[in-house]
Amino acid sequence: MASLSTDGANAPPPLINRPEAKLPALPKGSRLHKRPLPSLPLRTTTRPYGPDFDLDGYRMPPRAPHTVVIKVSASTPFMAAVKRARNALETGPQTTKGLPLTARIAALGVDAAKAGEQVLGPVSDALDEVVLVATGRAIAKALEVGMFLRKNKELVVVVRTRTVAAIDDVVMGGMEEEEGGGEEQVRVRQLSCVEVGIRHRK
Amino acid sequence: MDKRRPPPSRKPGADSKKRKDAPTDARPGNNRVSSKRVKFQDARNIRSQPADAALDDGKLDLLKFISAREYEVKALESSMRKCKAVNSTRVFQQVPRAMRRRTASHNVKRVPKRLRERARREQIEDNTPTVEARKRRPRTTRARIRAETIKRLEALAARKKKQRADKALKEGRDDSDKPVAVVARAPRPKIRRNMLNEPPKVASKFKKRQINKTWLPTHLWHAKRARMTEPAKPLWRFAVPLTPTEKCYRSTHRSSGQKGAVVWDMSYMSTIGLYGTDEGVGRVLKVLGLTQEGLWGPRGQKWRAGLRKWSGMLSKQKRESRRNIGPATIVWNSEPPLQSADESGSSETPRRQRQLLIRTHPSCFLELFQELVKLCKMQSPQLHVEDLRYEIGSLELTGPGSTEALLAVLKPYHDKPEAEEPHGCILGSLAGVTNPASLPKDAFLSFSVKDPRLSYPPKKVDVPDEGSPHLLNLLTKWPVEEKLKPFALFDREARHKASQLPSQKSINRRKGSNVPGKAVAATPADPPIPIMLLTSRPALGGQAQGTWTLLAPWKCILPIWYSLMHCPLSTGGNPRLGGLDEQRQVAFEQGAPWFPADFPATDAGMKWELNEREKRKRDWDRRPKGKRVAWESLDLGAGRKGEVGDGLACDFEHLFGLPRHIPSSTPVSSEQDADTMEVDPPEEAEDTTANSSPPTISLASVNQQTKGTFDKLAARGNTEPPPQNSLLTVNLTIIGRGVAKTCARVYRLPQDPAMTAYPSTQTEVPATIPPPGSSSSLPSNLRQQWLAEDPTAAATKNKSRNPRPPAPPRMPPNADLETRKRLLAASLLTSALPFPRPPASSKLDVGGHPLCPGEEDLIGFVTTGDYNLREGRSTAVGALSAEKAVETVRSAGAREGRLCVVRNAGESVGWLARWEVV
Repeated sequence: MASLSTDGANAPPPLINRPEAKLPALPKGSRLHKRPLPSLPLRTTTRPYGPDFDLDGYRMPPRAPHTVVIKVSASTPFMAAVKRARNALETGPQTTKGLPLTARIAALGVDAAKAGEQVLGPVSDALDEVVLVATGRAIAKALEVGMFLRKNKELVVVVRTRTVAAIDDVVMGGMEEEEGGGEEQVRVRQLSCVEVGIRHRK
Repeated sequence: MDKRRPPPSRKPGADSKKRKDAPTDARPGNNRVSSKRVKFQDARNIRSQPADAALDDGKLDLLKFISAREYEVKALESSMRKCKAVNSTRVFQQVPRAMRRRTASHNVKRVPKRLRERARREQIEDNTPTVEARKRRPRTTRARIRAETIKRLEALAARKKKQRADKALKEGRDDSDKPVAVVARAPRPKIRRNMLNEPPKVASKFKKRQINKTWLPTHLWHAKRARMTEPAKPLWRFAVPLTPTEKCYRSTHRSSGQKGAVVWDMSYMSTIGLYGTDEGVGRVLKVLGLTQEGLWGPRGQKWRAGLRKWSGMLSKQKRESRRNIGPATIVWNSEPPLQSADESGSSETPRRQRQLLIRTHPSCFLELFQELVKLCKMQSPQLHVEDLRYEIGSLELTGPGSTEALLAVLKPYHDKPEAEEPHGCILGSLAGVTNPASLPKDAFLSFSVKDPRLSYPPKKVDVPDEGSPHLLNLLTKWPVEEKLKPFALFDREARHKASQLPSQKSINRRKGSNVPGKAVAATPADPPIPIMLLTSRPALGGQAQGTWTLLAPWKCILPIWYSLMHCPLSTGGNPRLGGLDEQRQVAFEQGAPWFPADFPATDAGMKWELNEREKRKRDWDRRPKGKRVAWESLDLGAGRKGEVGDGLACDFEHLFGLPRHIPSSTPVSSEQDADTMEVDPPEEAEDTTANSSPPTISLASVNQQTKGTFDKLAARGNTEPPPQNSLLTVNLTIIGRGVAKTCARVYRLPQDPAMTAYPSTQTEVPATIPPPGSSSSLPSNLRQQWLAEDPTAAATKNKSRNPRPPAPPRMPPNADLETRKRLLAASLLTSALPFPRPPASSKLDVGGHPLCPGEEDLIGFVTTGDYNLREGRSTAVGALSAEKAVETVRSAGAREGRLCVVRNAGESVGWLARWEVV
């Protein structure tokens, strides 16, 4: 689905997310402290063409507030991920019963916007998806779950790839770090990420 | 199905004998009552046919019979349906769960307005007895006296008012044209140097309820929605919300980790201001335990310049050893730019005046404050401290939606566009951050915001992608140095101004004249509210959620709170309310110790532990003898009887062989530490309900060891003797099954008799109920038995202990019945399962479970333990004896040395666990 632009030249075009220069080596006696990963962006249909090409020049499909996002890690049990996805699909879009009035009205707005955007096709379809997200080592597991669920003829499984920028702190020393040494350098690391969208066939 | 059984006869009034005023025929509602009753009875009535109708001359007509039954089934179903419809779902049952307080009530006025009319009607129909609080007769003597007093006071006030009016009339002056234009300046609250501050003046209406405690700024809001501390037993001299009234364990877990946000009013946290020269302040902080090289060298530069905060444990010197006071957060005020330019030019001005805020827990506030005053007076030139407890309040937020909620509520204040504060802009561009921990470590922002009531109700913020380059740039660069000015929250005048917010009435008036849906523009009458936003990462790192702490003037907390509670989140719903229990829950799920409960080696933690002991004892005493744990008859197997130490306590005295503290009598001990405990001024005595004798003296001699010291001691080849009587806070994870609870005992794995015994430096383990020789009767391979319980190790090593019984032989596919029977009988008779099962507590195990190690292997106690929703298994936070922990790790290695057995108090079965120092 990624809309990579090719110039038509013979030479392979440079990768869009290719770094300009390699990061310098870590100073001696320091180590990396990983900050939490950014979460999956939440994009409502009110802005279908937001400022939203990711590093690869790929426009991500919109997300509704009710979209269920299941984060898969390398240690997630396989069947647990499958069951979570199934449960989320069965419960369907969040019902508004029992919500406060404002929330109900907001939910109505999302539906209306969805109805108006039939032209977008796959984009509005993506709103009903249950999304499994995984980075790095966990990608294999998310794909396995997706493939497992594809056996069900009722379901449509779409796989998209992304690149996620994660931030690392370079901290000096081992023990002193916790006692307020503070970071000296901050690095950005590009991570491969996969989104497996699962939805009911209509 | 009743065979046309007549419906239970109900004479009018026969069923309502219990009620006081039975409906009479003259009652206007009676008609409706009877009609409803008829409807209800009709619905309850299930029509059926007698079975003999299907008999035709004694012959069964099958078709008729079946159709009759079919008819009956349908009648049953329709009756069930009708019953449900007609049956009494009362209107208050439709009220959502979150409005619980309004549901379970026979007071119509409590039901939301739109349902009130129906509720009233239903009450009349159902003949519900209603109570009007105003007309209720006082029942107790106290209430009667109170009612009488109120009546008398009212009469008195009326008389006085009349007298005054008469007098005014006589003198011919009119009260109405009193000069109103001149309004006296609102008195600035007194803050005395080096002295404790007084709680804020309260409206006389609420004065009596705050005699021995102070209300949080949001007390009235919380008191309706949360369980508070008991009126006579405040916590840390505050009325603290303990937990919301609605069930919220799982929802708190979800909104603190996956979706949503949790908000706490933490105004009970104490703030101390420290003022003085740069060097003097540095010296004081070093004495308080901030001795790390990093803080005072070039790497701590950012902290000292007021760009980062510091959080950690403060300690004080006590004789030869250091004793922890409690956790604190320290923020320096940034210097005015003029001075710093001066300083860069020449190092002539070493005596720069600096200001610091120290935010700490109320349970250790007094200790820290007294220590600070003492230290400040020792410096020359003298520093001074201010008690800013009721000056600065705070909120705490956690969860993926916390940043979003803050963005929706906090609108930066600037009267002209060029006066925009850079920190306010930074917060504005943080939209899309779903975890405060993804900000730089210990980052904080300080700026002024508008009165949140001007833009009430808060609107949903537009959330861009977190990976957007702009945000990425911001998070990596963190440009807080630009145009840095001294923080307004340090300024007493700014705080005072912000406390004089316009009244809700005037805001409403301005709103009324405003365009609907638009925020009211700020005028000079709306003071800027100076705030400070601190971020903290989870104590154990990882991907867990961080926390935002919002500091604001005490009186500005309430409007901010209202807005936060009504702020819509992009993932649906509003931020949730949290209480003290939720605070503990979030810390526990992240595996972090919570102050003061998990720090028994501090004075505050010790007090908490003693208080808990007393509470548990009280609860235990209250239970009937047959239903409470009989500690002395607990069977630990291998002839051991009785609980180790006190079953209702994390019995560190027993662990270290210290003298026991008997709470009721006056203990006579030489170790009494007068410094910390006795100087409590009477108005500050922490918990007056705990009996007034000085707290345990023996526990006070126990100290805390840090992770750093432990790592050094446990390192290979280190033979330095480990410190005695000191505790180590650990995080325990149960391997496999079992749930550890508070007060559970932690044992190390028993020593293999073949190997050398643990180097026992502590010989004076007191012999209590089980005789010291009892441990010799434990099986010699107990260590092996426990190691075999470890599934990770068992996969690689032998599976000798619990070999699986061999599967029964498969039946040959073409065996006839006779052969099958024979084979089955043979397999039953030759089963490897032991039958009859061995008795529950044999010499060798407890019902197939390895025995608990002996008392000499006791190394600590669990201070908090439960099932952890985040881990999907039981975890716990505990305190181990540092000495024994070091010994164990030295002799058994880093991996096996960290295995332990956790046994709940009062249970004989232990579970294998692993501990990690935190």
